Amino acid sequence: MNFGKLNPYNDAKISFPGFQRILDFTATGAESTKSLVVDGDTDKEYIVIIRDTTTLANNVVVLRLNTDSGTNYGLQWIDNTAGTITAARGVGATYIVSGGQISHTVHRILTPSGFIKTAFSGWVQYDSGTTVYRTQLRGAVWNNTANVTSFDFATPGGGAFGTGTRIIVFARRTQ
Amino acid sequence: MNFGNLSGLVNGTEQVVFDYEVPFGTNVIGGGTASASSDNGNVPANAFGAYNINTYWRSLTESPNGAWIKYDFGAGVTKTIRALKLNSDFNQSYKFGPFNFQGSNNNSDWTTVASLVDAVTANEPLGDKTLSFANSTAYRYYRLIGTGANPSGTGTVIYNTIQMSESGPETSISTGNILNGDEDGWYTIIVRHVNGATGAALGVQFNADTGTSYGYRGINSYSTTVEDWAGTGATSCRIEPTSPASGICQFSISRVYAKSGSVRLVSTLSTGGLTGTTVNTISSSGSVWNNTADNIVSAQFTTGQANGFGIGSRIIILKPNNFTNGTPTGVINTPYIQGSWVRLPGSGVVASDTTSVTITADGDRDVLYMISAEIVNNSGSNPSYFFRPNNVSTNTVYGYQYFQGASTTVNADRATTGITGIDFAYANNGTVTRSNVLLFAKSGFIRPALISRSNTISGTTVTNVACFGFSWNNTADNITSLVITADAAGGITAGSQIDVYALRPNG
Repeated sequence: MNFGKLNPYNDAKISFPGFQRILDFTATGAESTKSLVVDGDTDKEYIVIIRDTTTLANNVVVLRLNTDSGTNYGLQWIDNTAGTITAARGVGATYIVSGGQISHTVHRILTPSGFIKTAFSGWVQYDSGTTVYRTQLRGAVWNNTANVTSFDFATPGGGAFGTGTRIIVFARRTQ
Repeated sequence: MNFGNLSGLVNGTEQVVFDYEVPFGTNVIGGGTASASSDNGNVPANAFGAYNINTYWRSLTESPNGAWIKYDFGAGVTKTIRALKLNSDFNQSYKFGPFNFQGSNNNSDWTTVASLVDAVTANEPLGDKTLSFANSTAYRYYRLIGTGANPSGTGTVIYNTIQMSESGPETSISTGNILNGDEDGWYTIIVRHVNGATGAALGVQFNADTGTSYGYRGINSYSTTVEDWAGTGATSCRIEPTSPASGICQFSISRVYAKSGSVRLVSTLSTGGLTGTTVNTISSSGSVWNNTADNIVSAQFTTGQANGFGIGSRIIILKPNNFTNGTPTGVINTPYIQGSWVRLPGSGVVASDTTSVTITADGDRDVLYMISAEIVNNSGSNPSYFFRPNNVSTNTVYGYQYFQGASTTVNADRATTGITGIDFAYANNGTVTRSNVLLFAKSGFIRPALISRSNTISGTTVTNVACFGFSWNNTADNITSLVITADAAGGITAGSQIDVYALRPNG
C-alpha cells in the first residue's frame, strides 16, 4: 500500500518491527531533569541521541534508569582526548550513559528484564573553531535485572541542561 | 488494523532519503572481433558474448603472466573504457592475478590504461568482479594482459565473460537540495566506498561549503598500531583515513546532528582498505562543520582525488520524519515500511539454551543488515560468537582489524586467515556480551562489516570495549541466511536477545 504521510505520534503507535521516536526534547535552560515513561520489556531496545550544548561538566546530560542514582552502573571506554589515546574502566558509576560538554552522542540500550542492562555509546566532543576535542567509545551496564519503566535524564550537579540541549529517544516497536 | 507492506513517510521513523550507487553503465562490447594470445579451442569470442557457464575463453599457455585477450571495436569505432566486469566461473584458480588493461589505436603501440588485479587471494570467489579506473582517451583496441602469476599458481586463464563500460569512477556525489537539517534534526549516512583512485579518502561537505570549515579527530588502528587521527581547517568532515590504493573497499556509518544554532557534529565508525581478507584500518572518529547558522540543505561527498568514487560506491542517507504533531491515529499494523530498518523474523529473545540462531535473508534485496545482540552465557564455557553469511565457516575467507580498550590497556591487531566467521563477541561463563554489527550485504563486491562491542559484562564491570572492521571476501553469492553461532555448545543461553534488521532501501 502506498500512502502520503502517516502521523502516529507519541501516544499513538505504529506496530511494525522497527524503531519509532518516542521523545524529542529541547531544553530551554530551565530544566534540570526530564523523565520518560518506557516499558523495557515491551520495547526491549532504545536508541538515545543527545546533542549537549552545555560547557559545564556538572551540567551534562546523564541517563539513569528507574530513578536509580546509586553506584549500580559500570563503564569501559577507549578515548582520544586532544590526541592522547587511553582506556579506562569505571565500576560503580551513577548513570548508564552521558553526554559531554558541547557534544553529540549516540547510545543504544537493551532493556529486557531478567538480565543486566547494557549500552553502547559513541561520542564526539567539540572544542572551538574546527577542533574536535574528544572522541570516545563506551560500553556500559546497569546491574539491575528488573523491567525498565523510566528513563530519567538529569545532570550530575543538579544544575540545568544547557539551553538548546536536545534529547531524542527511539523505541523499538514489535508486533 | 492490519496493512500489507507500506511505502511512504511515517512520522517518528527513520527512513531512506537518499540512495545512490555509482553504476557500471552499459556494456559496450559488440560489433567487433576478439583475439587472444592462445586458446585451447575455447575461443576468445566466447568471453565477449552473453554469459553462459559452459562457454568461455581458455588460454593454452599454463601461466596468466603474459597471456592476453583483446577486443577490436572495428574500423572507425573508438571507446573510452572506464570499467570492466569480469566473470570466471570455471574454477577459482583460473583468473588473472595482476594484469594491465591497455588501449591502442593501431594494434601495435599499447598504452596502459590501468594496472589492475582480478584474483587477490588463492580462494578467490567465483562470479563477477567489477573494476573501474580513470581514462579520458578513446581507443579502438583494448586488451587485458597478465603481468604476474595469480595467487593459486600458474594455471591457464579462463573467462566466461568480459564486459566493458564507458561509465566509470566519479569525482563527487551530491544529494542536491533535498535535505532540511533544521526540520530533520539528524541524519545517518552509510557509505560503501569503492576507491576509484589512489589516496582517495571520503569526506562530506554541507551546503557546498568547500572552505576550511571542518575538523576531525579519531582513534585509528592498523595492524598493531593505535593512533590519533586528527586535523583542523580541513575542507570536509572526514569519514575515512587516507586509503592506500585504488580498487579497495571502505565502509562507514556516520551520524550527523544537523540542526543549526550550534556547530554541526558528526560521529563516525569506519573501516578501510578492505581487499580479499585484509582489513587495513578500523577507526572511530568525530568531525565538525563549524557553521552554526545555515540550515543544511545538501551534502556533497568528496575524496580529495579525481575519480575517487569507483563503480559500486554507494551512499545511503536516512532521515527521521518529523511532521507537525497531529491527532493520534491509533495502532497500525504492518510488517514492513519501505526504507526503514525492519526487524527480521527469527529475531528476539532466545527461549532456550542453544548454539546457533538462523535468520532467513536476501542480501541483494535488503542491501544492509544491522544486528543488535545481548548474549547471555551460562554454558560453562567461554565461547566466541560468530556471525556467518550463508553459514560459511571456511577459515580462509574472513579477515579483520580491531582496536580495543580493556581496563587501561589499549591495543590493536589484524588477522587475514584462521577466522571461521565474523567474530562479533565473546563472553566468559556467567557474563553478558553486547554487540552491534552493520553488514553491507549486497553482492558484487567483498562484503564489509563494522562491529562495536563490549564483552564479558558482569555486575558493574565491563571488561572491554572494541571496534572491528571485517571482510568476507565473497563477491558473488547472494546472502540467503545469517547464522549467529557460538563455538561452545549451548553458548547462547536462554534470555539472550538477538535482533537482525534489514534496510531494504528499494522496497
